[in-house]
Amino acid sequence: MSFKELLIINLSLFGAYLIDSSIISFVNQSFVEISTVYLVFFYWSYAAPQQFTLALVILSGILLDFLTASFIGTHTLIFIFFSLVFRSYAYRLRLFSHLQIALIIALLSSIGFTFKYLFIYPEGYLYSKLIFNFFSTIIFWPLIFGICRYLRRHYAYTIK
Amino acid sequence: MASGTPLKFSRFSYIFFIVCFSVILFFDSKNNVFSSLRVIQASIVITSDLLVNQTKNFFSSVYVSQTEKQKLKKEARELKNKYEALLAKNFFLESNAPNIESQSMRSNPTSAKIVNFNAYKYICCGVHEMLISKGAPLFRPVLNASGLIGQLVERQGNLGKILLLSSSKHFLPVLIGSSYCNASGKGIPMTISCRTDVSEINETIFRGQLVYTSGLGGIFPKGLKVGDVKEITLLGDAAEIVIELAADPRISPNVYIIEEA
Repeated sequence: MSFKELLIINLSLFGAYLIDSSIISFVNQSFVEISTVYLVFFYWSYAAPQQFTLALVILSGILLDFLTASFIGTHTLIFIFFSLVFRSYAYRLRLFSHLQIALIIALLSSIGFTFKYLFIYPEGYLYSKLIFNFFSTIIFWPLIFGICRYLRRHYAYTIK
Repeated sequence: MASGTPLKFSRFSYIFFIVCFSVILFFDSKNNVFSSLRVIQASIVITSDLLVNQTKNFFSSVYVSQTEKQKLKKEARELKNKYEALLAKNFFLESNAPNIESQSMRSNPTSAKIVNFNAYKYICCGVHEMLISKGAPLFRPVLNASGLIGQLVERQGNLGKILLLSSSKHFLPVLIGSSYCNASGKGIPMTISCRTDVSEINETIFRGQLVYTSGLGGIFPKGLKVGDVKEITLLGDAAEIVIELAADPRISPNVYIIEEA
């Protein structure tokens, strides 16, 4: 993987983080939290499981922990877990339809979300937030999938 | 059916790092081990917010001030035009013009813009002309904010040509006190002169005496202020009277045409 492709993956994650924080501050509702970062992460794990290595996963996780001022390891642990799942089943997931993949991703996102809130920030945990996150993940997945695929095909074409 | 995928990777390393980061997370959440990182993050966020806000404020203030400036410029231009139009209108009221009966002359004159005026030719040469943006009916008096400047002599498409009072081709019968004199331009800026027999001068003419149109030419109505006497030279039985014009055609780009004289 070239530096350019590494940069594109990290920039897409950073962009997703900016979108997340902008939406949260713009909507300003307690139950609204969209995990675009997770969706982008899922895309790269799904589309490039061989290139999206463990080191890159850890680096992305630590950077996200730093950016969100979370405890170190919060997102890193979630990312490593997701990466393990995707690396194990990446090619088999491709047999599923987009809706099925969206459901699986929404489920994984909810697991990550629950882990983050229930174990580390229990004071911020709301069922409405979890439900909103689940459905927003299903809705936004095709969009994020399309954008990231466009990026991969036009700027990181060696990632197959 | 294969239980795994063709990908070669070590699950052990993943599990190892999961354990490692679980320990790090535990210590960080209990003892704030990496609190300094969060402080750095907070300072970066605050600084970037400040920078973004400052930059945004700067550009918005520049935009606002530019817009205000443009607005004020436009307003000033409009006010200046209105003021000049009022000055031109006031010119009639100030003039000693009892014979101006037409009410239309006292109403707003038609305004036009100077589109071509050769200032070099105005200073150097005999023929003083300018082109304006409106081709009104010919042989109408034209004035600007400072007074009478000439007459409309030609139409060129949508433009009109003005022959200035100071042009060597222009003749203007004037009234100095109660004496008539046929003045003409000499090609000298803001100056006209007339020659008359001393016997035809009815009363004493002195420097600074106001000069008005006589109304004899048929173009300029009687009683409009032309200028004042600058110099009187006696040449035997004749007298050469130099008149300094009141109006300077160079002061403004706006001119006003009296369409009904």
